[in-house]
Amino acid sequence: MSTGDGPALLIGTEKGLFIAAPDAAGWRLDGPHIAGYEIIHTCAPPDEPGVLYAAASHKIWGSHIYRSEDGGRTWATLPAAPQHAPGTHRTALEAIWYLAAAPGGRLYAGIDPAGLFVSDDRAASWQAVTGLNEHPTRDTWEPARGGFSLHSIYIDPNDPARLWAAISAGGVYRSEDGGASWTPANHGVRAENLPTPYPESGHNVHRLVMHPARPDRLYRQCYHGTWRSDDGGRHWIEITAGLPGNFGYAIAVDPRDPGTVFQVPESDSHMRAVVDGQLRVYCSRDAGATWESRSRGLPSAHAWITVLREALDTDDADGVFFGTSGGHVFASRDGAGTWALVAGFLPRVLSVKALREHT
Amino acid sequence: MNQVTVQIPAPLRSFADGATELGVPAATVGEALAQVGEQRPALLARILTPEGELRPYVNVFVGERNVRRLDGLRTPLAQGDVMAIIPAVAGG
Repeated sequence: MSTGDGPALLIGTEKGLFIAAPDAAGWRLDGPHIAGYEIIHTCAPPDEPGVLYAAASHKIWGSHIYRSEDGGRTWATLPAAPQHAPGTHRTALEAIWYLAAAPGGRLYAGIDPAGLFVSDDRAASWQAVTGLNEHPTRDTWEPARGGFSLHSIYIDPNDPARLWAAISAGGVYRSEDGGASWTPANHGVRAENLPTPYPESGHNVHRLVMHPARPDRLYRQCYHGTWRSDDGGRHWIEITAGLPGNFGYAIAVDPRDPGTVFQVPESDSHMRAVVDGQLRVYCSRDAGATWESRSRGLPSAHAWITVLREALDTDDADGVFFGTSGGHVFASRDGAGTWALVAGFLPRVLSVKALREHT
Repeated sequence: MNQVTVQIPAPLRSFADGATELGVPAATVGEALAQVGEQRPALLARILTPEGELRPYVNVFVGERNVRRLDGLRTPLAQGDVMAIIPAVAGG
């Protein structure tokens, strides 16, 4: 899609998918694709250049997966969708929240009601991952305000049998055997949504990220703080100190540096907007020990917006990109040092993905 | 089997090769939808939930009567009936 320098952006909004490609004049915007549908997440399989998947949801017409074979120029709906067996939960499928591609072609999907599904035939059919969906701790899971979703699915690129996934609310789980069995991975994380301060599961986690070059390093953004793990999720340490708020959705890492992490702090679970109306991206270069606002070029007053959990992404060339609930998309090409507007007045932005290898 | 006409709303016509209506043989509303969806699974998936029920904001009328006030998907159809799929006016 791109003729300029840097990645194209897949911008999922409440009313369709837009593609922003850099060109000599700045950014060229294309869309809406899949018009009228909420594009909650997009996925670019690493082994299939030009192939993209989108999780699309519509209040009337339901939730569906679309695929593009040409880098996003055209999209086709797929007949199958991941869903629970009818009668298992209050509904078989409320929405598809997350799509992830493993090396070798396997696809994973996370849905509401919270569940993990796998496809080995390019999304033509989906099978439930029962080791997680029927986990003995499932009775500690409950819907969060935004829904009851499984999201943030990560696969160790060096060992695809190692998996992580997060549930809102339910916490983080990990598997070492390709998804056959799962272990809660929340040790050291407070759960302010529950009477027990440090339970095994049931945490409200907004976003989990795995560092691709060091998969044992994970970061998680919860609704009351930010945490880091250096041992694949077995233990967590809180890294909220230095941030102006303990709430937030989005968190992303620099894929070249396991110590560099970006976050958009929000005030609290009551307001759910950036702190003091200042749109600020915070960056840590030391894995969360210290934080610094990196916000030159962003509105510094009366920006009462939010940045949702899938709406922040990075590339491997100092690119940082995010979209807001107000329909604005910003890009930085210098590690969040300076920011420029990519697009404004789009519908509410739900997801942003930088296409690292675009066509 | 009765021959009936199923009218397709504009947002779904791309899943029916652009057709505004389709003629199918069917004895009930559910059978008519199954006939329509047999070669068009993406169309059917937008009308019915994964459980096989009408989506909450999708209405089906036989003539001028909403099948929710009749016998739902089991509502019988007569020869020449016209069945309309109409999204509900949901929200503001």
